[in-house]
Amino acid sequence: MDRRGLIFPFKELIDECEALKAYARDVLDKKTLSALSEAKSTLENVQVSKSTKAVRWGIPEGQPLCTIWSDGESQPQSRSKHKIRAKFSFVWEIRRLDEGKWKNGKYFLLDGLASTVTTIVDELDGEERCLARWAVEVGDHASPGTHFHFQVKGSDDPPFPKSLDIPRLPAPLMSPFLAIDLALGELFQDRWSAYAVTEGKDTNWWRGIHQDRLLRFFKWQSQCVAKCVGSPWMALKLAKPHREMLVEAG
Amino acid sequence: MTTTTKPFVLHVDDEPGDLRQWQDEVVAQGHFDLEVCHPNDVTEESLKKAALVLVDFKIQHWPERANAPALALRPANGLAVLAVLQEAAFELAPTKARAFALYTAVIQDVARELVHQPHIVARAHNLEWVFEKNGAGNAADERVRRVAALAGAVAALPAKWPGDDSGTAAAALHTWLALQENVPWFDAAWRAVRRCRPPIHEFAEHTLGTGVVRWALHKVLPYPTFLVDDAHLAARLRVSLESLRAVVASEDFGKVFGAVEYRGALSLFLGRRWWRAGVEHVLYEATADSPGDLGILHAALKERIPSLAGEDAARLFPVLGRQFKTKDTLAVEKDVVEVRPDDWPPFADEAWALRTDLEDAPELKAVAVDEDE
Repeated sequence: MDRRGLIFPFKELIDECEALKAYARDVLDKKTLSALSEAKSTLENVQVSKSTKAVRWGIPEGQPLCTIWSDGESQPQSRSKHKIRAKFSFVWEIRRLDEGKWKNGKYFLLDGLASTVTTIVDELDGEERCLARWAVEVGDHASPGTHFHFQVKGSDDPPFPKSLDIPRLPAPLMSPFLAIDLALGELFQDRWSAYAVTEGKDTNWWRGIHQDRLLRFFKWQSQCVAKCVGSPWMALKLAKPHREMLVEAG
Repeated sequence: MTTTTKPFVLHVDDEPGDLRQWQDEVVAQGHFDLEVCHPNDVTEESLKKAALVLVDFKIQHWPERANAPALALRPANGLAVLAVLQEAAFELAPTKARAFALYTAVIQDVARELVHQPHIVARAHNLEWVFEKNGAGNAADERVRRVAALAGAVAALPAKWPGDDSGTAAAALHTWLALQENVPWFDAAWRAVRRCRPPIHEFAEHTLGTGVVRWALHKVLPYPTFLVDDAHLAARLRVSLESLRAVVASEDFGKVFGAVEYRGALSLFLGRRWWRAGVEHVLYEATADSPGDLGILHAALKERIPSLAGEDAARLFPVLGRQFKTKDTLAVEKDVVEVRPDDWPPFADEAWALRTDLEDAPELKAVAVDEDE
């Protein structure tokens, strides 16, 4: 039986689209919120489609979700000299599951391309300029490097030319939307930390989605280290999660 | 259970004789039974059986009122008469649902400081609706259709709203909205409906279901919610609104989108509406290999509806103009600014206006959102 990939409940990711819209509303550019609505609709339709072939789910690079401008807020007390904003796009190759115990149409398998790209831009003479770009990626069964990793996405020239696909820096298990949460914390250092740790309807909703997923991830990571032979780091680098890690009974 | 007889509309006016043409149009269309009478002549029997009570705003020819000894016996206008009739109707038939609406040629007088939008003015005055006698889109035949739609929507409510059980309450709303449970986009549509907080439990029971009608009239149909109008559909398809309107009644368009048109009790009330979840399903089916790719979307649309004119923009925005009415053109991202009218529901999509319109429309400028906010 094929054990590759990682199984997610549709509902959690559908909810995430709505939850992010509510949770991060104040720092997202409202002109671009339709990207989240459209991503949610795509996933809803993958769920009800009869096909189980792999499809691409995402926010296209040409219609990204954007933040508002961060004017100095990328450093505490707004000390940064940069006025920047982030643009988010992602692609996940997913397959609706309709087999064995997954025959109820409630789950999909992430297996294949899984990349969430954050691009930081500023504006120079009315033109957008890319200052930084990174991706949060999920590997497949054959990919080297840690299964969940960050990659710097450079240009054709050094440093980090496109042709060089290392390093793959370890990341926690991040959905595209948690990767956005990460970037918001970087762009709005004081504002986002002050808000995101509060108790409120939207922050609680967000926590409810991600807490269990992250706990499962860290449990798996700690078990990898606990059971390792040789270098604990290499154990983490080589480990592949069980495909049911996020859905098996806790 | 729904009624199968024609709904009955009671129309109160101080000059019933002036409404002959209106009555003729009602008879010609045949959607509802109508009684027109002077305030002096309203009977308990008529009030009891009415699904909709319409009252003219300006009531001048009423000598008995002028001679009444106490101020409280002298209702100043149709709004005051409606308040009296609302309570009288409840006393007479406490379990019958009915709607109350104003009928006026002077919505600006009723609106006072509000924008001249019927749903906003109606909400402010505890009414289901304000029907305008004049102005674009309010010709007699169209008005009759709208009155029929509202009366029919009330008549289509269950005899007793089943608000004490979540399953039956939801099913009642599905039926009233004509949301078919066997369409593949049902779950998505129902999730979207629930996000708009339909009052289907204790409030629906208390109001005998008219709370649901009000919710649809005041908070759903006028805004981009789980239902969207032609402008929002065109924006989603990234096509010109003009080209969509030109082709929307065609067979080609019907083949693609006909199954996702809203056909509930109020479908004839404020113009065409589309199930957003249904539209998304159609688009997904047409572009499943590359959802979100505008090139593929436009190619798929072109193949099915050749005369739709695709727009080369990542996003398009319906925009509000004067009196918060949606304009006939769509705008691109760089030209729009967010506006937040007081009554705009938090569950609706954001509202936009052209930056260049703000100076000419003080009501828009007042609600424009500071972009640094």
